[in-house]
Amino acid sequence: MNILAVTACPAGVAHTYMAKKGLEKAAKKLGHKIKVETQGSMGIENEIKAKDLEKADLVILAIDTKIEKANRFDSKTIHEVPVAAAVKNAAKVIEDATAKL
Amino acid sequence: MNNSQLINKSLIELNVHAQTKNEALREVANIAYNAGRLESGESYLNGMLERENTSTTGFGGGVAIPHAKVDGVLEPTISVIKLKQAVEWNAMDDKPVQLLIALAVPKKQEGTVHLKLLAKLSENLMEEDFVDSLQSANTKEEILKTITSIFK
Repeated sequence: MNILAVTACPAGVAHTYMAKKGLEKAAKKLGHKIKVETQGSMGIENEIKAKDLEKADLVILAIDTKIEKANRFDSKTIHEVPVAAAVKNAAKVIEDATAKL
Repeated sequence: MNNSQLINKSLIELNVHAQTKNEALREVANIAYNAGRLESGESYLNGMLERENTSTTGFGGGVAIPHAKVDGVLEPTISVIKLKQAVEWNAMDDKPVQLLIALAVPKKQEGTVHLKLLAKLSENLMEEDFVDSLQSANTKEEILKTITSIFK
């Protein structure tokens, strides 16, 4: 499956990036493709573009704060969780997300 | 890039005595202050406490990453503290915490070099091998070497 994700936390220095890594590792393990955009202290990195959205099956938002450009995902199946969920058990986050389809 | 700008031996302490999470965070602030990284310990301490109230930084396995982005931090800083005894942290897995990897970032941080390295450190904390080697390290040298190795 093609998964897109955005991670963001209030300080944007730690959990944003831990969640990114957690989701990437879990996706690999579960056999999915994933692209994770971070919205942290360095702004938007690894930004999700229109061509990424075209082939995406679903979007995971692991966020504790309002994100920028959220309307990009309006037409997609979205699974939103607190950023901590993706740090603690990213595999479960991905499984719950794919179960929504 | 000189990694000693982010962490050095004066920012690593082993066998730190603390009985509560608050005491442990006070030690984190004291160590950063004594290493010349803070204008005052209070704003950093309050920033970390506020962050913990939002959601726990204890991410499991007895490890926490307390952090704050506040005024009064002179330069981006990593400190590593091993407590003599684990303290209750309200961690994600409910286990007490013994190893602290603390971050301090100035509120008005300009440039992204240091932030990138902090992000890299955070990502590495999701790697079991990395966390294991920090937990099994018994000297400041080993800890310093383990942390700086990921920045190469």
